[in-house]
Amino acid sequence: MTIKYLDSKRLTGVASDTKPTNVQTNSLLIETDTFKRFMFDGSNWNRVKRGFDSTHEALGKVPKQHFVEYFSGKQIPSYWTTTVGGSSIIMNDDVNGGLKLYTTSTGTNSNFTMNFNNKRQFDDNASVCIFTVNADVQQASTTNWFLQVGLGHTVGNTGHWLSAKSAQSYLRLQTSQSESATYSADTTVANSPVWVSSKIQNNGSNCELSLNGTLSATNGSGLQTSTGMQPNVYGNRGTSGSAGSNPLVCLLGYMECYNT
Amino acid sequence: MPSLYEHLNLPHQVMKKRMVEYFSGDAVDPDRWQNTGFGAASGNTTFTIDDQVDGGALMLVSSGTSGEGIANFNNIRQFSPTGSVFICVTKSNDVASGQNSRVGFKNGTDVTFNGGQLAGTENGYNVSYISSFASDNSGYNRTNTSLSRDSSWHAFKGQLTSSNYNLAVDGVIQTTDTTNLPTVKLQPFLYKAFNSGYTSSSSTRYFEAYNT
Repeated sequence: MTIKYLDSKRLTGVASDTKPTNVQTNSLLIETDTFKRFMFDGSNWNRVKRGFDSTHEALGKVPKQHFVEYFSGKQIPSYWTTTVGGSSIIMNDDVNGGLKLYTTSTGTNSNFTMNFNNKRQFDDNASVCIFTVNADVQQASTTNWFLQVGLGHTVGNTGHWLSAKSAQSYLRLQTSQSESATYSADTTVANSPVWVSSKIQNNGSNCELSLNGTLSATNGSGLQTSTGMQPNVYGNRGTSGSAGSNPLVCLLGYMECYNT
Repeated sequence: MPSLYEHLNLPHQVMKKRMVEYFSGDAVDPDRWQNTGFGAASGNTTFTIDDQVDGGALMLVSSGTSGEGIANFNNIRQFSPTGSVFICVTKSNDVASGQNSRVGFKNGTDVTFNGGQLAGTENGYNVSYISSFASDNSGYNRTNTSLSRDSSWHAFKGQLTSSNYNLAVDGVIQTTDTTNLPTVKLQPFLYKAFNSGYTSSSSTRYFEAYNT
């Protein structure tokens, strides 16, 4: 195996690989066969032998706004604002279940949303949103079914989201300002109901989407110009089409947002 | 790395269910935990944040006769009986005969432990040692650690696999159980019981659970 260079000064390899020295100070290398971690001090790779005393130390920076949601417990925490129209939001009683958002009606445009009630603490030019999601929008059989998950100024209107929608065979990155949407090209990750690790990174000049640890899409246009972002989830079940009475389902296992 | 997620996972992995509870703030999170009293403790069980340095949450059961209290996720069971871990920093605040403190994973919200589908710890009852406690739907298995029952803080780490249940206390694996392991989905729980004449409590300041 050769060394792989990931984002955020991270590398992976195996124990037998020669560790490179032409990397940035404080780069972190993980040996995927031994799970050992090494930090580069500018000259040498040093084994990180123990844990950190604090989450602050583990994260390695003066902390800016940071939010972690595990979606675990008896119900959704009250700091989320939700709306449901022919839909329901519950904590899922299944192993690895997470939060379940799903339509309960077959009425056209049944939907659900979730956000922070317009408390926008995340920087549209310098922030990250990481989440695990399992989306079922019945994409092959429907019209105007969609799911958007990520950070945005206004649900369904302005933001940067992972997009799963009707007639879209693969997941995409969607950037929107005032309902003017720009979609990336297809990623290589199928738009199907399996768990995906997603990372949206807002860099100012562009927005990047990484799926399952791999940079999968970059949008340099259609970016949000309104100031401030909040976590956004928006699902809409359009016309039933040949999906019949099947619901639109979104499972969320984890969400982390922070400013960079 | 600025991301907690990337500390906990290899880049290509999708993180399985995880939960971290710090028991801090002005109240135990009512959206996460359900607390219920049974027997004489019904209506006499409290689960509150303790106004003490390192206090965590205090589970208190009291009344004139015996009773039990249990906190859990109200049957939202996202943890696997064949691949999960709980880590809990907790202590029993008394060692009186008949009191019992338990923590771990359990299927139901009831206080049935013999046949109750769980994997956890036990500090009390009529046993002189801290022990592991595993139960499927047909019986239970209690295995003593080398640690005498006490009222000190301990870090418990219970790991369930498809073939065994390991319990480590303060970083040392103490027991391995291979029988009466739970077979159904699980939720975190904290439990306190007492016998007649006692008011009894336990404190917990950290609970982490995740699937492996």
